[in-house]
Amino acid sequence: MSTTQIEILQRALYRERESRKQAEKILEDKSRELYSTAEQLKKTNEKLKQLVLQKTIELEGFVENLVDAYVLIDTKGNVIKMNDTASKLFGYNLDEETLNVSNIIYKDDYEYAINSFNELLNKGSFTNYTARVYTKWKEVKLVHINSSVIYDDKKRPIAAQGIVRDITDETAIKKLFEEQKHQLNIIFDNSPIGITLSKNHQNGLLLANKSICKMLGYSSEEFNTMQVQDITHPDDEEISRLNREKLFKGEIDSFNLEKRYIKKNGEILWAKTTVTAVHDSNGKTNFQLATIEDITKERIAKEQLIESESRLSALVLSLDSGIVVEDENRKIVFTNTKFCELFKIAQSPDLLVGMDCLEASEKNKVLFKNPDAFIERINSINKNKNTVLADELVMNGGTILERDYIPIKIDNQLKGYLWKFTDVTLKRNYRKNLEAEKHKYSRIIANMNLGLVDIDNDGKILMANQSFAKISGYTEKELIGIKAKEILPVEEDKAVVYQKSEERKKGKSHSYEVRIINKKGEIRYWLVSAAPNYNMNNKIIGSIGVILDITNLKNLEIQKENLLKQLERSNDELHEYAHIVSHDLKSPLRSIFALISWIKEDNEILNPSTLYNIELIESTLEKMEQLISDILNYSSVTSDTIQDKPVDLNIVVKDLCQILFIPEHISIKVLKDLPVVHGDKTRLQQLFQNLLSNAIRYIDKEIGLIKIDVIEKTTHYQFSITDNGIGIKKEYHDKIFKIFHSLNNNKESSGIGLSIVKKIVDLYKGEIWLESIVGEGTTFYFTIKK
Amino acid sequence: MSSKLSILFIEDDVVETMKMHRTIKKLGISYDIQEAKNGEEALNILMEKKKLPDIILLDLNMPKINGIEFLRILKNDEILKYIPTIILTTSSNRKDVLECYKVGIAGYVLKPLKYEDYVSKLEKVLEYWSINELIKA
Repeated sequence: MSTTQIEILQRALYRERESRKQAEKILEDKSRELYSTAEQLKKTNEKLKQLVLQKTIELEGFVENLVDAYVLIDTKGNVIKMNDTASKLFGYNLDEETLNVSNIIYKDDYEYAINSFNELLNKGSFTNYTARVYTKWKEVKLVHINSSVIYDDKKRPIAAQGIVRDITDETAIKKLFEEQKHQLNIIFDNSPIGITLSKNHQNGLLLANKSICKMLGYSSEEFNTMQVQDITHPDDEEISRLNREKLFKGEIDSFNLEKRYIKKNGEILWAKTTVTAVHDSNGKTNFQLATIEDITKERIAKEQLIESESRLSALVLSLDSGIVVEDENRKIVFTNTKFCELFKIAQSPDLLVGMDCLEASEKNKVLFKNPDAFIERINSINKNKNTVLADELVMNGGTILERDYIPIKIDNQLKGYLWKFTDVTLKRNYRKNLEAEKHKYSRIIANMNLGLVDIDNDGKILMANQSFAKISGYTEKELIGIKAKEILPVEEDKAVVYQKSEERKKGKSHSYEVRIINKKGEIRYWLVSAAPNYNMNNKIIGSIGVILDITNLKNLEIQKENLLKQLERSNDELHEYAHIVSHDLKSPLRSIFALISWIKEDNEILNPSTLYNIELIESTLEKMEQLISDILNYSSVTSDTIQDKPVDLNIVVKDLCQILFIPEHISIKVLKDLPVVHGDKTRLQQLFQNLLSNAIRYIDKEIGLIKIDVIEKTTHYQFSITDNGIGIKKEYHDKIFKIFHSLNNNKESSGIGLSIVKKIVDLYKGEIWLESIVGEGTTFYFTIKK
Repeated sequence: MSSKLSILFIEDDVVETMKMHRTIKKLGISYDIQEAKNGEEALNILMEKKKLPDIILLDLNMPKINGIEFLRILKNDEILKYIPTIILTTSSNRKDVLECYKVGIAGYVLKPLKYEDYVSKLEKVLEYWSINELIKA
């Protein structure tokens, strides 16, 4: 069969198939139509049936499906019907048991129930009856009942129906809510934190709690008319405003701020303020809740802390010790200027932070005299991690450093190390010098020739040097602890020593002489210089005495005193002797004179030569008498009888002019006012008297003139007495002052006058000399020490 | 003058005693003079107390009891101390003068060298005491 044939066959088959399909379809449509008509009939029937049923159920269901409990009772209170909710609520099933409502009334509510029921029957309805009932399981439930009466066709009440709502939970929730509100109020009122509530775009604070009132000093009423801006410190106004605006725009929900408020009394209050936006259900900001915490104290404390911290760091920075603080990894955390200075680091201390100390010390070791030991020591310290104080390091320049190493532990955990370097060069050298000085003085004390003793307040010897031991005769060891004042002084001197010791306790220093008995029993004289000894607190703890043994000196002094006494005695004796001798010598002269006179008297006629001889005898006697007087005078001029008083020489000379016999033709002129000198008036008078009477005696001119003059020199007065007498030859100028030397055989002159003058001038440490021209006159000069 | 001035003259030197007598004789006035050669003798006379002198003239330089010692004894006696005592001596020793005045004297007269001077001095002393009102025994 060819293809064409096949195709034709195929096409024929297709046509046949198609027509059959069409037939089938028509058949199908007709059957469906029939079926649906039948179905429709069935449905209509069902619908009618359904409608009748539905109406019946609808009535039943109204009661059954009521959400609230439904109870129908007869006039006796017996429950006729109740729905499922009621069954559930009360726990009773009417199919199984009967129930009278009086049985379930809570005992305390009974009267209220009866009254209410009577009212219901009278009025036909009763609403809002709220009372407690018992469930079958004796639970107490709070119920709300609205009820009405059902009448028969003759208008007689036959039953009552009520809708019962269980309000037990509702009441509990309501109560809980009240409680919570109350609690919130307590919190709000008693919170130590200030709380305020304000509304957008409305003046005044809605709420302000007690704390904020107390904090700022305003009452809550006052706050009602105030803005936050009113109490904000001007300096914090701007930032507060910015935050508030953001909050209003909804950009932020809350903000925190530490800001200042101005209290009603003007004081500043630092407060931590948190403002939170309160949104409504639409997300719109209606309220702002602000909590304000007083942090004034904290703020002050913080400021003080900052201040003390900065002070501390300034202090450390400028400390006279080099400080390095390392962390536990030996990195520098902190260092100061002095450290850089000591280690010759030409950098600011800040730049060293973070530097590795291990490397640094490797670099620094060259600064030290023994670099390897320096490193070794650091390593060993680091290994032990124990505090090391006052390690001494010697640097190349001779600087001595003292190093402290202190591990820093916080809660027993190593946090780092503190190194402290102090330049102690001066201190060390000072100490060395001090020791050298001390040594020197100790040697001096030990070897000096003065006894040195240190005693306590009881008088016990604490220390005595070698010399003290030597002069006391005891050994140093024997002396320690003994009470010197009890043992050493002689009995008679003990009182003095005790008195001196008491004086020293009052802070007095003194020197005094005391006799002591040395170990050998010999009496020695000591010169004691003692002073109280003070401790550091300026309290007297004893005395220091320096002792010089003056026994030899003292003996010499005693010897001298004895000699002087002896001398005085012999002087006195001599003086007495002179007087006695002069008396004894003069007496015979007087007797001779008297006898001669009687010879003259008794013999009326004597030849002229006898008379002349008698005259000679008389004048010789006078001369003899004068001589004896002068010798006596001369011997009287000694220093020990001299007095030392101011003597006005003007008066002396004036007196003399009256005492002396001055012939008419002689006048005495005092050229200047004479000074007042210190001396013995009698001697000075004798001096002037002898010179003046000499001058008077030797004047040979018709008009005699004697001039007295004085020149004041630095240490002396130089006096001069000038006459216009006979004058003295140069060769006699020295001789005239010698005793018994009279130039001419003048009967009035014994030759002792000028010797006395010389002796007196010598007494006053002066000098005497003269200038003279023979025939013209003489000037005697003498000086007297001022 | 109602009665003679009675004088106790104490002097060891013979010539001095002669001088006194001669002077009194020369002055031509009558005095009641008692003499003593030394202090001891003078005390004996005074202790008798028969007739106490009006005045005493006393030399200082004497053997046994010297003048000042005598003066002290005198001044210690309750009665004798009232007798004015005049020292008549050669000694111009200042010490002696002071001591005498201290113990108590009525005068101190130096014996001059010249006899005429002596007479004149003594005359004045006696004249002076003659016109004085004295405690008569």
